[in-house]
Amino acid sequence: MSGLSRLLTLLVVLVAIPNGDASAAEQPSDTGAATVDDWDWGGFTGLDDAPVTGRAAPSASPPNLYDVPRVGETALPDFDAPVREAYAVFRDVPPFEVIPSQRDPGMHPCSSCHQWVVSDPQPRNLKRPHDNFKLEHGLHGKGKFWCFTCHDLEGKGALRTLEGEKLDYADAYVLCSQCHANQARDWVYGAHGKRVSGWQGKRQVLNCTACHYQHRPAFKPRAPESGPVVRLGLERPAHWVEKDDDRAQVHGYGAVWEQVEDGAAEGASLVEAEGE
Amino acid sequence: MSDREDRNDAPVAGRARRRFLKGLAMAGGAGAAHAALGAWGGKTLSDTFADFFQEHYQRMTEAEIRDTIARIERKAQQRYGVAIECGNTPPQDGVLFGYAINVSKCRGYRDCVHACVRENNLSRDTQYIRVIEMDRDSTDLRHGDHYYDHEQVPVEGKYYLPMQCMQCDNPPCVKACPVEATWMEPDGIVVVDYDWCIGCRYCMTACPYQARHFNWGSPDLPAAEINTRTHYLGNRPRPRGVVEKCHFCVQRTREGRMPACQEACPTGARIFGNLLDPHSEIRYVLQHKAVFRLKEDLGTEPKFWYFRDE
Repeated sequence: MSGLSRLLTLLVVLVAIPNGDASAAEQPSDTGAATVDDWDWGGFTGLDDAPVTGRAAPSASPPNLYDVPRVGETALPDFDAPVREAYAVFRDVPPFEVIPSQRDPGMHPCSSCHQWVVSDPQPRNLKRPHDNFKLEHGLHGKGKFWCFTCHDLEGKGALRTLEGEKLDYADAYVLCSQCHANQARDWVYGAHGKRVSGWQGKRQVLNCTACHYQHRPAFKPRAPESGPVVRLGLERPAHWVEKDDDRAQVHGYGAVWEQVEDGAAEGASLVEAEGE
Repeated sequence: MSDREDRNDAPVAGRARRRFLKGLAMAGGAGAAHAALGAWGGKTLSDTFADFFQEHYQRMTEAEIRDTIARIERKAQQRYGVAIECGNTPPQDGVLFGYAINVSKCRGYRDCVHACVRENNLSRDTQYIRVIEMDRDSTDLRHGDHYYDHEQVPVEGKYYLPMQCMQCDNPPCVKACPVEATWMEPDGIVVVDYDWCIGCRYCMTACPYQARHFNWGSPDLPAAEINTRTHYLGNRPRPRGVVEKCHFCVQRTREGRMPACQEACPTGARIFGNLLDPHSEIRYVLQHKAVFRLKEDLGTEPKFWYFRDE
């Protein structure tokens, strides 16, 4: 029942959130000559690192948000932070712990800006300083997800489930599991995700965001590390020869002992040791 | 001759005997200790004797193992100039290691391969793990390619199947060894006593998974990159002329850590654990996923499973 109700909630949310304005999406973004001053600060004059509670005295000049590190590919696990006991939502799961992820140093906590800057809940093409969020989440959800599907509109230090419950960023897996139920089940039992700090003792696993960048969760293709060398006497792979790859030329062809007599390989001694 | 004398490999039994006799002849009677220095390749006479008479690992007493390990550390110091720490952690009770790989998740990056090379002090031309690029909808290993070299992986229409030692429960390599230099430990890891191996390579032909590798030459191991945390049955520096293989990172896993390949995998495709623990991840995978093993029909009973996301 609860699964069904969550699904219904999800559907309602997906329908309720309007698509991003197509014409807005066509507009060229104001990169290039634009400066910090172009941004409507809404009365905000400074950024303070002080804790969220209470309003800190604004500093003299607005900070340059463009110098802060951009949002990374993934939120790397923060092994120094205290681990979080995981919510055991499935049966017969021994208790386990979740390694929290590092926060993006430039963007957190949200309230350091948003205690002054009013959030616009209207889905739109994001401008700076949030233009580095390219939301590419979900094959079916393109254009339907919006910041506040996951982020809490009022207190932006938190995430928000579809049912309105506030969540700490360290518990992001609860949020992901609302839609990705199969992955969540496998993750809880250990068939998905990654266990760290050993196979023995209490299970410690990485949070979803340690491997999947939350705003573009699919893995990116990349170049592989180098492959094996061809054993002496074996044929070079055809695509090395075709490409005229150096590795196809390093050793000639032939049997191992022929290579050895040529002095091409160091493996000589076992064969010829008897000779001396 | 001089070139070979300079290399100070631990003995394959036959070669060691030759070198020993040659050294004895050269040393003659008088001043053996000084004259012998060249012939022993920098080792002391007592170490050379001890190497020659070193027993099989399973037949050594604790004191003998201690002496042997001290000798191994001295040899590494002399050969590479690196102070290694050679452990001898025994298997834990109630532990049987198993491995599972999610082939839907493997993307062929080969991060595991190189983590293994660094962790296990492999010769830089040897790789225990082979990631095989397979045609989608096929499990025919004959059409797999482990030399793939694309600009980007994964490639459309392919999937990636990492292979390493399957740690068979009925290991044909163990049966093939004529001197019992390789055997299965109580925690299920098939290990090699590199000092007992005679280099006949029968095990390599017996292995249906091409998991064993032979050191044709002295391992090409940069001294600066040596992993100093080693194990007698694991990643201690190997001599020339012996067979070696994946040992589930015995130096790590017997201390409760994960194998280097699991730690390196960026996609979480690798699942390692204790098959005897009903709450382990590997047991969940075996019970709830459609797992398969490679060449199951051979009856080698690999403790290495593959599965896919449903």
